[in-house]
Amino acid sequence: MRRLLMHSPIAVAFLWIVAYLLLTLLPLFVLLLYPVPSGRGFWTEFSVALGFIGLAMMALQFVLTARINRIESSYGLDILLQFHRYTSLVAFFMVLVHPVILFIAQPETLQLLNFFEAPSRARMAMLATLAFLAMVITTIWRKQLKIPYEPWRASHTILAVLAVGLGFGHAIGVGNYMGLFWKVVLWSGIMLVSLWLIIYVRLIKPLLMTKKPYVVEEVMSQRGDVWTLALRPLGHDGFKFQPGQFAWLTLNINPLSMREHPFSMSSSGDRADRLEFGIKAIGDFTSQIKDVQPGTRAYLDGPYGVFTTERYWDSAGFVLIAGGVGITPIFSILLTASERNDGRPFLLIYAASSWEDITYREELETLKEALDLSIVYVLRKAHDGWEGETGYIDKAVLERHIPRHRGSRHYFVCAAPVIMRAVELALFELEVPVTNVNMEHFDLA
Amino acid sequence: MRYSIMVQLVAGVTVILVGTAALFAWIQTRTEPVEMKGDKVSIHSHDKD
Repeated sequence: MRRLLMHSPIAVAFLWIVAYLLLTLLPLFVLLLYPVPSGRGFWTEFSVALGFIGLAMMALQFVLTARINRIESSYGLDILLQFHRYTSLVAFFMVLVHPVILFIAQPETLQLLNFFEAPSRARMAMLATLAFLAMVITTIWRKQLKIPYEPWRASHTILAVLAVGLGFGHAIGVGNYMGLFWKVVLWSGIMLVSLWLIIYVRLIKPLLMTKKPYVVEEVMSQRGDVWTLALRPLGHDGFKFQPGQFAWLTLNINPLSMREHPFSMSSSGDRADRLEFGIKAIGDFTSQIKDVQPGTRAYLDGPYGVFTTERYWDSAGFVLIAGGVGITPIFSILLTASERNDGRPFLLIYAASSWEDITYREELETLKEALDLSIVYVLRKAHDGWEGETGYIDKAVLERHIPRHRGSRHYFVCAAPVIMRAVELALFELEVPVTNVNMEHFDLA
Repeated sequence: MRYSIMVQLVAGVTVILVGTAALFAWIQTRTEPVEMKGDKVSIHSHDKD
């Protein structure tokens, strides 16, 4: 069993899902230990069950987003956040359906919608639902509503605490089931763990980060409107990382403020004394990177991520597919491999807008001397005389270059979402095993 | 692809959760098994609606 868990990421992932289901359903299982309340029909009980499941799912969101390394290392943060988004919508659906069933099964409960005359337990339910609704709307349509990242993140945390806290208050207030001893113990435990996680992630962890500050050593311009931010640990050893991983970066301000952003390291994973990040100027925060002065204080939370060749030490070689600034973690993979004298073949397929925009172009050419590295550049706007690939990385380009024995390599893809989807589909059509494809989504927000 | 797997996974999780909610409601409101008391037979139900 232990051997299976160590060697099969799928088995580990499956076990986490079973654990998730058991935790979500535990409050219902506990109820079965008690005598059944009288006078309630199937639909009322069904509605109550959905309410409890919805509340448990909401509380578990705090676990999913707490950046717990053990869970994160089974999936990767992007996958966990995607699971968080989807299960939040399911929880929202249950929270909405829960009263609707009651209104239909017991029409007299419709009176509870009168906010001013309703008992406090019903008011708490309404406020919790409104907080949840606000959270869903501001998250799905954040960009359309032009809400900047940091205020959104702060409001997301506050609304989440409100929604779960008021939902818990509502369940206690209704009291039919919550009067039961073990039920109260269980839910109080769930609430305390959720509260602890939010305090830990937003308060204690940032305070610990202040003990290990970094200082900006250099800001260098790269091709393709990318800036390399080099950090040096201040009074501590820094950290080594698996090449391809990322960290959350906070610059020049108190780490308690929510202005942290995830960036991939572009330096060697074995160099703890100097960490470099490749950052493209595309957003509010990233556009300011070029103006950061050497000497500026920085804080890091990391490393995170499973987008790393280190997990596949026995792979015969690697196919790395990058688009634009997606080269950052891949450059770290190649740099680290060259320093470790890795003799395995690496194929890099790299899409950029033009020859001049190929980030790390010179450095990549140098790496060819130290590594068994082949590079295929794919240019969107090719200059006269260019004889290489042009356009986008599509099925035809991949078919021309990836090895005939598809399963002999592990594939790493990091690019803009639209390119990632196209490449993923093309690899699937070219019969690359799904388990050999690793993807890094850098749009986590 | 991976996200369509994710959609399928979350859909599967949802079906299990809703199914368990329905099973829970059924268990809580089901008619209890027939009880034999001497030569009398009685059926109890929690569902008084």
